Amino acid sequence: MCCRKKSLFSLVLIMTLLTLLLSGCSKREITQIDIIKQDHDFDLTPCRRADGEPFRIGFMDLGPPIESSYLCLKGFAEGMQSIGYIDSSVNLQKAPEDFFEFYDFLINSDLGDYIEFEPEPYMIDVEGNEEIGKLIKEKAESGELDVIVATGTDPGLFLKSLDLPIPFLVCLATDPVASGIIRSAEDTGDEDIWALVEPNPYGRQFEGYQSMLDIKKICFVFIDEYDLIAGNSEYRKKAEELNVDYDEITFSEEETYAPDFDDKLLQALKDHDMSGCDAVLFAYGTMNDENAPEISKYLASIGVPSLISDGDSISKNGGMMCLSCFDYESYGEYASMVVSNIFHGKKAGDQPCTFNSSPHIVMNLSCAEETGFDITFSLLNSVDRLYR
Amino acid sequence: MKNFFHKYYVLFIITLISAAGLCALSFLTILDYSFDNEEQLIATCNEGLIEEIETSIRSGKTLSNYYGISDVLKRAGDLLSKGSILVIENDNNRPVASNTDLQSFSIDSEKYGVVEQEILDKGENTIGTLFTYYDKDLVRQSISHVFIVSVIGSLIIFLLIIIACYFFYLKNTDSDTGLIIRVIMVGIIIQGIFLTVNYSPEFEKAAERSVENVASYINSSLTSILDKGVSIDEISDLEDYLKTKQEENSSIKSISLSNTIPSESADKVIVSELEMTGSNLLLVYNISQSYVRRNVLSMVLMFVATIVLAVIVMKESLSLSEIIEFRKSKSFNKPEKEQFDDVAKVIRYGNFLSVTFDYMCLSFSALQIKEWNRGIFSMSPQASAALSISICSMADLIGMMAMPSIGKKLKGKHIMTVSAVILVISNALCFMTTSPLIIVIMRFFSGLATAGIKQSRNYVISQGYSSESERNANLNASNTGVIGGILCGMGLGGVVAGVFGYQTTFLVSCIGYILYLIFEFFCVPWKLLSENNPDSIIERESGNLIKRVINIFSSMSVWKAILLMIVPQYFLLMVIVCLIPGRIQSLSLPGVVLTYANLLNGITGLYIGELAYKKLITKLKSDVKAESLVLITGAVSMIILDIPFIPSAIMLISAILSGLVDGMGTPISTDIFMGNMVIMENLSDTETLMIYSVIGSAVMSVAPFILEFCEKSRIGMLICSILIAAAAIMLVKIRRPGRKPVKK
Repeated sequence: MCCRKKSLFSLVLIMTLLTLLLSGCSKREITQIDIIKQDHDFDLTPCRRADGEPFRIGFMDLGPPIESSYLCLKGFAEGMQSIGYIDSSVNLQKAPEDFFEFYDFLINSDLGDYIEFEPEPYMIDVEGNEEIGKLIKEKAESGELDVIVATGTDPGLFLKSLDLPIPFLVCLATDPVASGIIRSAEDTGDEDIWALVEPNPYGRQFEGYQSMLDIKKICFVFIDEYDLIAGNSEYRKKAEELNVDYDEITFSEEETYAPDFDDKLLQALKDHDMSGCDAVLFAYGTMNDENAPEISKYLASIGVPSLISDGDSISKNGGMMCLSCFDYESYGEYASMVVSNIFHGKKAGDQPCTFNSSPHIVMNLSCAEETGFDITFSLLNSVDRLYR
Repeated sequence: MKNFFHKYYVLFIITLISAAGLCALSFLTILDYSFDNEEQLIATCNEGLIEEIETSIRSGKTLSNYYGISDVLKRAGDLLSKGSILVIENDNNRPVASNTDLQSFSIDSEKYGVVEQEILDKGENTIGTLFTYYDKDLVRQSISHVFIVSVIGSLIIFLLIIIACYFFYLKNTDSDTGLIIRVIMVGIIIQGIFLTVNYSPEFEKAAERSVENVASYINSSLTSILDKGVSIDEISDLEDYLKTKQEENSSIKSISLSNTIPSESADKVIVSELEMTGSNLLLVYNISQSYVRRNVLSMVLMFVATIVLAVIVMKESLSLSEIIEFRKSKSFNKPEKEQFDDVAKVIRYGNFLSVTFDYMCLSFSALQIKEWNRGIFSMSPQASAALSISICSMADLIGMMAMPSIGKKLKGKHIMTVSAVILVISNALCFMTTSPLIIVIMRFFSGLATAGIKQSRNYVISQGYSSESERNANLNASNTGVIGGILCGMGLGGVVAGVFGYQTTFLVSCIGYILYLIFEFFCVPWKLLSENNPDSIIERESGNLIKRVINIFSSMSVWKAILLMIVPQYFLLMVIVCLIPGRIQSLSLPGVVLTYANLLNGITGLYIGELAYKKLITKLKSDVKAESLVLITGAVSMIILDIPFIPSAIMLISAILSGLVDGMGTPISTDIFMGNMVIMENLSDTETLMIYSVIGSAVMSVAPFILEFCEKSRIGMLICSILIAAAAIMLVKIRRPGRKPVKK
């Protein structure tokens, strides 16, 4: 009997303890937040070379540099500063808004102990770059140069041809896979090569325009030979996918070199049946800074919005709107994080290449008003820059 | 002085609890109001952020690969109150980014409130959720000074109540308890008025703060657009934008653009100057006085409801002093009339206590599990929450079916003691745990123990009388105790859960069951009950129970009583639980209508039902006719819910009629069932009551589904009402067999 009582007591005790244990007494109600890492996993702490010296960075572009090159360089420098490679006392916001002047500003500033730039940017031409190639190769082999950041398809292909012993990054190329700089976004094909891949930028751009303007019918202006770099096929495909009717006005590349191209383009627009057309989209190489005022004015007069494929300056000169899926500054910033990983010993070819830009919208308010475009609060809120 | 406190200490304790309840309730109302304002502000300010993220997602970004997302959140966080934390979770509920620099941190739900906003992709599918945690302490601090004033003021009023009571006690040598209660009521009403006056300006201030914050956000949004070089006239839909912002924030009556400050306005106005316009443009925000008034009125109505509850608790507790006095007398445990009269009081107060603490925590297990957002095993939180409720009912049903055989082996006192101890332990564990599984298990044990409490209650009813009138008094007392308990339990549970959190209701229930155990242990004449055999129980209980149950269910008259009386009666009891709340919700009536519907239903059942029951029986001279009339009243309570005008009044009238059905119908139907000759020949009173409860529970578990259908279908409601009315008419045709004389 005594034994039975003891067993019963022990059972009750064990049950009570188990219940208390399971109940999690005395715990407070807490939500634990553990941020999972993003798919890109960057080591964002500044570091120096193994010998304690600062890393040396070379910058390459196809001369003469265009606005996108400057924006990439600016984004890259700002990214390096936000990580800590460039001293926070360097006021990059006050740096000049020009590629060469900005580069000079970097060279002449005390960037700190982590990085330094080559005294001059490497500017290649379409032809004859042997000297530059030789110089880069020597510096790379002697350890004077640690990494090269390039903007443009040609610089990317040129650097690849040099077969350098150091890594290089191409942070701006229309299609680095199609042009052969890398094998694919998932596998660059070379552990020292990295290139930024913006997936389907033109298709996404068209989708953005369509959702903003509710386009039912559009007129594309294309240059036939620029199918790859201007995304002509991507536009057509996306229009079909979204059930948007489209017409085309197409020129050959040769025609664009003619001095009367601007007049021809304007005349072609005047001759084209614009009835029911909700907008005209000008692909790369058609509308430019020079012809933009006259063409956009004509289209505004008949109430048709002029949409631009790429180039803030074209909108500044008259084009009604440019919704760009090429965020050049962010390309530079993203490249700075890839460079940080490389400095920490990771291979360039192993870094994630895919980058989706958030849309960058520029609008010419005068043109929009002349066109009779509805300028809503939410549109103005999402526009990054306005021109008149 | 000593005698004075000795006599009225129970009332003063209840008064103190009521005063504290009013204080807490008023603070809670203004706090909720302030939280609402803060949450509306967050929702407004986050719109830009969500739009930015959704635009990026639509253009190809993913939440798991969104470079710079933390910076985007940091920028958005700057627009919100200090200390706000923004977290984005992906569609797998994993946090992907926050505006803090920390990779791992914890959020204390006591300290932070949360606003959840969905992030949608271009196909309008949810791909993530933005959680904004705001610092509740900051909101509390902004109104803490008023709370301190309200506590001090309430304490002074409480002391004045005691002094006034003492004054009347001294003046009135007959020591009229009714007068003392009236004095206390006046005191509590004065406290309610004081709290209303104290908090009203704070409602206005909170509204002003909210409008100022929204104004600051709108100004910064507008300024950022104007900074881009746009003139204000060029924004085509500015008026629509301002109207949307006004609609999102209840504190704002209207927003307008003006060049001058309005000189006279019926509403309070906040004026905000737009920078960068160069034309001194002003944004004028009219504060919605009706929104402020609505909230003050809601608080006052809640005060009234709480005061009524406090008065009910006081009134029910008045018998406590008499019960304690009788316990001390020599007549206790003696087979005398006074003792049997006292049994009815003990049953009523015991039921009142047990049901109050049962209903106080009944629904909060589910709400607690939902708040934790955790399920058990592979069940969803919602399914686990529902399980915690249904498992309790199932255990109750299982327990009730097992009780007749347990009742043979264990004495009523032992069943009560074991059940109360289980309820104390299970409620204590429900309070302490953070595990949904433990809550579900403990609710199962609570269900079993509730069946035990019912068994002991039935034992006291069936053993504690010497005449049929005493038995009816016991049944009536049991029913009124249950109704009062349901009424106060639901009301007080809501207040405790609102002020201290859902789990605290289990702590209060745990303490309550200790009080119940002490009360039952000492105030029930257990010795007398065990010796009192009013109806040859031993003789009837000696046979095989299953055989006896089969006997009763093979009788047509029993089936008639079940189908024409018990089923409609219990079905109608669920009208206030399921149909009226559902109707109030579907008609979008204010929440206070439901509070008052419950309150009126309870009061009608508790006080008017009892009086009406006595008058009806005297007048009709037939309990079957009386029950028939009750069922027709129930059918009317359902059918009037379809009347398309003055919906709030209709809900309240239906609740009152439903209360009458409970207050009158339950004792009458129980009495008729117990008086059935076949039942009397086969079952003891305790067994009969248990069978009656099992049938009732079965009906109540099915009724919600039928009433849910009735709520959605007018035809369903009509059919149910007609069926109940038909049952009522057919019931009159049942010839009730004469009762056997009660043996002594």
